[in-house]
Amino acid sequence: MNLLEAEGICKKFPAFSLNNVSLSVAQGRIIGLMGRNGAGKSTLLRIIAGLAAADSGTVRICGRKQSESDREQLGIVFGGTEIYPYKPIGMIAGVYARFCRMWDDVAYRRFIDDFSLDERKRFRELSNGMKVKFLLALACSHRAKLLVLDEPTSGLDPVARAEILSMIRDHAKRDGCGVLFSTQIVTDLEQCADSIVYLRGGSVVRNAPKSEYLSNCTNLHGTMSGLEGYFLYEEGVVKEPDI
Amino acid sequence: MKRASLKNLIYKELRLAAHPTLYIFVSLGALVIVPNYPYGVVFLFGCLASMLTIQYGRETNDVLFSALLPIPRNEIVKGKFALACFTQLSQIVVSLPFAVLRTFLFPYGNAAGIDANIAFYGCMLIAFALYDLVFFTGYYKTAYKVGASFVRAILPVLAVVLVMETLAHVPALSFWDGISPHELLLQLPVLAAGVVCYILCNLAAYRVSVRRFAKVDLA
Repeated sequence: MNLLEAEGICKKFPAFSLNNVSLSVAQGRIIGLMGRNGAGKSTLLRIIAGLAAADSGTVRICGRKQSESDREQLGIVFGGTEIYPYKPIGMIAGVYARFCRMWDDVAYRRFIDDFSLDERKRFRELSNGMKVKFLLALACSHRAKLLVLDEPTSGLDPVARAEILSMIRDHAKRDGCGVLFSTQIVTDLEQCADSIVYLRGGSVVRNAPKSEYLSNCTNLHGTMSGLEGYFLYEEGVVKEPDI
Repeated sequence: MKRASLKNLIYKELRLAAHPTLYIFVSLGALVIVPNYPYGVVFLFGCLASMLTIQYGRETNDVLFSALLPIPRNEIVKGKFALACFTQLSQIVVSLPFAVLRTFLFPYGNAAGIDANIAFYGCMLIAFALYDLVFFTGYYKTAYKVGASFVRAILPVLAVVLVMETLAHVPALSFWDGISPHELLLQLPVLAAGVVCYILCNLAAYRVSVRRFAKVDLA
């Protein structure tokens, strides 16, 4: 079952437009969004998260046309977001939980313990990695069916990234949650994604299983391999992939 | 999706979104005890409280956090209106015992302007109503332009203060500044007008704000 179906999403800005973007996320699948800065990844995720309206196109969540009533089905994390920097994170979570009908306090406590988060700490006192982990704990503790993650691992050290990716994988495989996430760190996609949607200039260049990307571009000039090589080739940084 | 209860909305606003000075501004309702003081200033503190809280919310990403909660967008606006009304009405409630007390402590009245009487409270409600109408409808066009909305909204408040204080110096309208039972009775229509104006303006402001906020793309 597709938890997310986006079809023909268009959004125009004065200097940029998202053009006819379509993708889907099935239950238990992790879909990565790849592309340069300004390719339209965050805009697309904001539309799917209901934070911005598309000019045209449709978004269906769990089989129903997107509406405000879908919000509880979504767990949303925007990396680099600072919320209430002077408030203890326990207080923030306490308020968040009041609004979630499906809040699972046991799951939340497990995340807090697994990530060694101190609820007495103010949000600003957390490291960047801890901030993302806390936001993920919120997003994953109300039994959301679809996780929408915008650059959750950017700027984090390898250990923090590995922990976060492991959590995302667990959530998808164990709980059957669908995950759509964007990142600039293509090795994260290699580790985690089942399929990858490649965006350039607001349009989908390619939407294929990860294995297809990897098999098409295994070595580039002997230095770059895998998705990173494909990324550079697709953006014209290097010309001749060794296929 | 369940609608958030008003209690939860106000709880969230007070726990996370409210600027700490909000409580100080509410307590400044007590300024009506000060002898010979322009009580119109009290309105400005009430207006500042909501402006600072909205600005603080912008700096702390309150809008984004609220938008990620599983509640409809109109509930976010409702929370802000609930907090603003709670602040303004609390300021009035805080001021009431001091207004009564001052009639015993300073029975000769307020030489600096209007006394803290029924007409004053009627004007206070009208000023808050106009402020909410202009400020919130302006702010929710973008959900980030706080300063410009505040400047526009404070103008009708100043106009109300100006009219209120001017009338207090018109000999033909001596009842306006009085605190005798007969004068207070004559002032009752002003309070009634204030209550009606406050309710209608806030309802109108809420509807327009919801409509405008629904069109805002959040970053």
